[in-house]
Amino acid sequence: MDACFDILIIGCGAAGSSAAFAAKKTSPALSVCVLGSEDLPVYSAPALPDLLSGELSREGVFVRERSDYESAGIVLRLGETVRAIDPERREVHLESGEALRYGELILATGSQPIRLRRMQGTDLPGNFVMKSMADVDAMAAYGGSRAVVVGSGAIGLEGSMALKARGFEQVTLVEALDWLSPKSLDKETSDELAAVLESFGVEVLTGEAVQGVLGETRVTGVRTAKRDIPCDLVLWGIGMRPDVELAKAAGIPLGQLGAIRVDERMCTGLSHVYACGDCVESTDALTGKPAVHLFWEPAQRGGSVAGANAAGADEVYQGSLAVFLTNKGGLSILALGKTAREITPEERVILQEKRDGVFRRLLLEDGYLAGVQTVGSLADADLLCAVLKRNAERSNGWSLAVPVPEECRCSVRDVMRFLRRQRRG
Amino acid sequence: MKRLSFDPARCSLCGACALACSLSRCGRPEPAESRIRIECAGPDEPLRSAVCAHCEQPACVSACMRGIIEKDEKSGLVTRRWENCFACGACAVYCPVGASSQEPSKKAFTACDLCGGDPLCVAVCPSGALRFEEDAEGSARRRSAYAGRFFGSGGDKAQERPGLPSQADWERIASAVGGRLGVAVDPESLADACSRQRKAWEEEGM
Ligand SMILES: Cc1cc2nc3c(=O)[nH]c(=O)nc-3n(C[C@H](O)[C@H](O)[C@H](O)COP(=O)(O)OP(=O)(O)OC[C@H]3O[C@@H](n4cnc5c(N)ncnc54)[C@H](O)[C@@H]3O)c2cc1C
Repeated sequence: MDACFDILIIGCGAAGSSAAFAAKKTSPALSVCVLGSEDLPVYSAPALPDLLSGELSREGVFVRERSDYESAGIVLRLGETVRAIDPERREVHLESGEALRYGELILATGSQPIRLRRMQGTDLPGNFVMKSMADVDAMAAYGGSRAVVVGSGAIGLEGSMALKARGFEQVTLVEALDWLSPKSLDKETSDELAAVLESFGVEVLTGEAVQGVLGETRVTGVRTAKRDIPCDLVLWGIGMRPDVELAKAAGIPLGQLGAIRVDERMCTGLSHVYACGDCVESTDALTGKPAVHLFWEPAQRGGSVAGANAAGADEVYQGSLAVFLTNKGGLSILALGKTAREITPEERVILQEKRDGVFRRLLLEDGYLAGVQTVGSLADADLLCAVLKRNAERSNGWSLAVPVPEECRCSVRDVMRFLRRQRRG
Repeated sequence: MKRLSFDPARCSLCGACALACSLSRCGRPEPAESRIRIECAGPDEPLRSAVCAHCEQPACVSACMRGIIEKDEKSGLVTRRWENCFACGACAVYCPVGASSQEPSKKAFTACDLCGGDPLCVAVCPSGALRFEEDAEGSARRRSAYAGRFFGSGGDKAQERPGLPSQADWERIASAVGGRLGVAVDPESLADACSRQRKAWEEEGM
């Protein structure tokens, strides 16, 4: 007879692991099993840059130890990959050939780094991504002294700083678009950020698409539209894509953005199947629109909701925020809400200041705070985040959102003073 | 559970709470090391305390990228193993009350742990603005204060801030802090440090 679990979870990342513990907490009598391809219990991917830089030890990256699962009564099967799901028979098939039966299934398969396989040279030794601990180990073992980092999202930014801190002599960050992290930052903020990166010795090239990787037997350089940059390794940070292969093959409905569609209880369109984490499409808490948020907080919280509900609870997941946050090695950036391009010019007021080394840019839409970008400090992050969330509820009718009065729309200071006054108790 | 509660109408912004907190955390009167902050948005504005509320559904727990913040089901406390913090800052961004900040001496983000059940800030607060009380008591008091603002003494804005601690108060505060830390604390230098703290808070609000 095949083994059967009341709750079976695929993926032992932030989402799958949270789901397992929440399920056990909700209903200790149920049997819970987590399957994970990586032979490691959940660790903090956001801490990987610190592992790469040498700031953290391997132990410093783990979130749970194997013994934690054991003492919670969770069956942990690591190094096991699911090959297929048979929703009719409520079975999953492992690569080893074994089949497992489930009462409820939770998909927490996460995301995969995007790779440009067709681009010349991307199959040479010396091409790296940074998704897993194995990726960091491989990069560390490969060595070198000159690196090109492609892409300026969180991974590109943190990766380039980490390589520099690791002792690389030359680190060049290349971004094809006109400025850094354009999905989250305006040009002005990007300029501030570029100055910080350069002060740490990272060379920043924007508006320069990579055309190919150079080298015969291993990477020796990168060719952009404007130049050849000699290097020993390339770190690709051009984005992550939800891992939905298993779900797609099993006929689990995807959303309009291509990730697994879930309702507010984290149920997929197929009965007895839940999903959570980087592989799902849920709701953006600010816009109310469908969103795929590849972030830690939604993975943990969504995982907890999915796990609890699979175990019989009735919890609700109220969507998530896209929080662009980096706070390491002297680099502090926070970006929340809309960028300038997402607000019509007639409705937009943009205020910006730099005081005591801290850059702040606030965007008002129709008088309401709608976007925040800061470089250099996380001070007041909580206040700004809380105000943005409150303003997003504006469409509900009963919201407590308050516009910034006309007379306070002159400077960042005035707006901050107003927001502080609003917050009391 | 028993939580800290703050009555803005009674607070003189004397700074003793934060000073005592930072002394007990790092042995120095260092505002950035305090786990309680009083926010002052202007001379006539009501004050606000920024300190961990040990929320029922704490946002910091799922935000923490190292999984070191937990809600203890029995005691209700939100605890953190800050020794393992890698300072990602997510707890500070997601906290709805601004209770989490980076303690420079530890590099870690921390929040109030209620001193294990006997908060020093409450022991030193000279005006009774800070209390350590059961939820029910606190909410009853807040309700009546709220009603008082509407029907009684006319709005929180008009209220005068209570006077600063007297010499005798400072002596009492110094001996409470000293007693807890097992060192002698000079009331005068404590008062000086607190007054710097107060100015800093007032400037933050400007
Ligand atoms: C370098 C880096 C830095 C980051 N920094 C931040 C940050 O600063 N802030 C932030 O909010 N987020 C950050 N993130 C994103 C954050 O880490 C992710 O959103 C989060 O880890 C998602 O968790 P998850 O459990 O959904 O997915 P994953 O972590 O991708 O876990 C999925 C797991 O499922 C396993 N799996 C997949 N398919 C199968 C299968 N068929 N069988 C068995 N197992 C399977 C995978 O091997 C993997 O272990 C960062 C990510 C990286 C890589």
